[in-house]
Amino acid sequence: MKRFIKKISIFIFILTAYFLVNTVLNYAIFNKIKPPIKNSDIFIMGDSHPFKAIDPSMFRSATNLAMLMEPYILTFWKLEYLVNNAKPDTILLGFGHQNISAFNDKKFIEEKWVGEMFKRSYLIGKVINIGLDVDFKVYLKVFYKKMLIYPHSDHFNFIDTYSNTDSNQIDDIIPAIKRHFYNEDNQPIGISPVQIQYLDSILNLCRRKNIKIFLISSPVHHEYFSLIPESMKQIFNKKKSEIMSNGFDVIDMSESVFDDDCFQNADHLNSKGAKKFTNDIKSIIF
Amino acid sequence: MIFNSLDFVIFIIIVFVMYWSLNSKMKFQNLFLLLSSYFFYCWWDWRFLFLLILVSVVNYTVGLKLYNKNNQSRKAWLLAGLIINILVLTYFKYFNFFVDSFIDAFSLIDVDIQKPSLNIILPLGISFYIFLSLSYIIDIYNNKLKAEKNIVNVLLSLSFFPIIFAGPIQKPSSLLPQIRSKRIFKYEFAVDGLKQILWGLFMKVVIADKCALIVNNIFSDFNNYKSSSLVVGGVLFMIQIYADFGGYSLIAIGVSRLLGFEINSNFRYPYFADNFPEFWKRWHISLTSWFRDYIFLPLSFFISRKIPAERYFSINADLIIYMTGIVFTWLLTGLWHGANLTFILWGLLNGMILVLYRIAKKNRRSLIKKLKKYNISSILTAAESILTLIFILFLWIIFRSNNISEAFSYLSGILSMSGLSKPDMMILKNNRDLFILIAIFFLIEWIGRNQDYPIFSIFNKWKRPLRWVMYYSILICILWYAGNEQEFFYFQF
Repeated sequence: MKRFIKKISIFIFILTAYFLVNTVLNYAIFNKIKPPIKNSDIFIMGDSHPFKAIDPSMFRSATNLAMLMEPYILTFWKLEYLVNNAKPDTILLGFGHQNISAFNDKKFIEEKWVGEMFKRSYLIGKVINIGLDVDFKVYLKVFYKKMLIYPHSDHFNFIDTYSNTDSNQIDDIIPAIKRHFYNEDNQPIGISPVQIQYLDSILNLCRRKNIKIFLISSPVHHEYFSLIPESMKQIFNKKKSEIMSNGFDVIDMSESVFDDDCFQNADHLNSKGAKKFTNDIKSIIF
Repeated sequence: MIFNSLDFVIFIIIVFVMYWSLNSKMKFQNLFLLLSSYFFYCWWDWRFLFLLILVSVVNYTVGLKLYNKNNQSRKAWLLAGLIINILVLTYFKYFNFFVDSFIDAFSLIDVDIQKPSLNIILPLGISFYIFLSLSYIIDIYNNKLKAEKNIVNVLLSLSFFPIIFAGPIQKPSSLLPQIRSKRIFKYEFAVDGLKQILWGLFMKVVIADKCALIVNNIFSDFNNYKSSSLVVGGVLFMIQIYADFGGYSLIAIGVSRLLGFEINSNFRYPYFADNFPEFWKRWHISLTSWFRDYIFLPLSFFISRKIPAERYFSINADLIIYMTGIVFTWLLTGLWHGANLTFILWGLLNGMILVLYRIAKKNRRSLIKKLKKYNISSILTAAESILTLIFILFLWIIFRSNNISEAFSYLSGILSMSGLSKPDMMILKNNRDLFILIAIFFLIEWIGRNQDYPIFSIFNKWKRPLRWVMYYSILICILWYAGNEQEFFYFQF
């Protein structure tokens, strides 16, 4: 028995040491190298709405760091990391009705999304304090794959580059509304206190670091807008007023009626819409 | 709690440490193992633990009654034991099937019968522990086994956690003597167990679960796939079911070895069989030998006593006996797998192919002899191996389908004109890593095909550092693909 336990211990020790060395090396690489973004004064952040709606090339110095499906939790973690490593002076943060919907919480809970969320946040997120019923097994799995197996520099999965298309297919209004604002039983899903809490954290962080922040609601198709539950609109407007009363700027163009050919789908602008919208917000900001 | 879960890793470490620390007191050790087995079973669904205990206690009592040779009513006790076991199995496993079939039959003559609103859940492992129970009482009746007086030992032999859910069906006649005798920790035995667990996990987590993702997609939407993709789906299911059940069996055997128990192997590289009968001697060995010992042989002896003549209707009596015995046995084997006509058809087809092989036996032998003269008998062997794999592919497709009509649609899809069109390469392109892993897996299986499990011999020839690198590689690979624990395929039976 002693021999067995000794051999097993050695076997596990070597494996643990191997994993440990790789973890340390990966941490060192992550801390040593700079994030793959060009030096910019303006960072565009948030989910797919600002990702599609704001064309960074139309600014003198801007980078669109928004990503598809990104909840405020992840945006906060990203910003926390970026303010220490890239030092922007202005943030344009997406602020739409869907951002405060409880559907965002599912992204850290449901199997189809949670892996992707951890893939983006395993080095910048504080998963334990997230305030949601997170599946830690998935987090460990992602951490294992990304950190323990071999040393590499591909740790910046939370950074994407802006891209848009000319496509124009507005046939997903109902599915998009259902996904954003209703649960499986077709009942309104309500708001997410966690997302609102993280939105407040983003605002506080910007204030602390002296970074100018604009909250931007990009246009959505008028039919999509008309189907957003009234209760959600009321909460959104209340939050907007609260943010503005705290001295932050909100540019709400969600109700602006853009032509149908400016939309890629129900709630995202295409490249034509993005050019028009970027011009609009530039004229407001500057 | 399934073998490929973190819960089980924690469970087995605790059990292993506590079990061996009780080594000086065998009674406590067995009691601890029994409680661990019940805990393991409860983790899935505690309600059915009572059924397991009830069935075990009934069989323990019947066993004692049967062992008393002066008991005039031995036959009656055996009958009672058989009826109780079969009734429990029938009620939980086949009630819905029989009711549905009954309603369908009456609907043919326009009689509408309301289905009773009973939602019967299939208790996990019921087919396995009922078969163990049947073995126990039949063996005592046939004086092949002494009735065990210690109830803990009997309960443990019928609920031993490594084999409770999906076998191997280790008859009490071979498990009970091990439970009765003191287990001594042997280093080689335990290391061997760990290696089997490692390879079993690789089979399950890396090969079977990855295959399952593609197989599930193809089988759930087979009407939209071309013939070539349907063949790929069928072949991947062949690989999935082998890696899944073979992997499960290896883990079960490995865990048993860690606890000092010897469990018979359940698979011997079945896809490398030369012919169809050989395949069934290598696949799910514990089940096929159970059916051989308790159904086929007794039935064949019974029929042979009823047929005194050597020939009937110019057919050899031996062949009639074999045909009747094998087809009936395979019908039951199919039914054992589940209450679905696909399993019954699958069983009958297996039986019929075996009968065909039996009929062609003499001709095959003479053909092999002739070919041997020209040193080309290997051609026949290769052709037979390929034919066997094709038979198995078609049979597995029936086995995997949800119903008969889906099975025929899938098979007709394979044989359709789309087979002449350009094969759809998307599945291969999108899953390159899986196909490379499958190739490596079968290469290792082929190299180690003469051993109990492939990595037993291959790595043992290497020096320790290299050997350990291989173990680490397999372990890292398992951890890489782990995380989406999927139940073992045979749990549904």
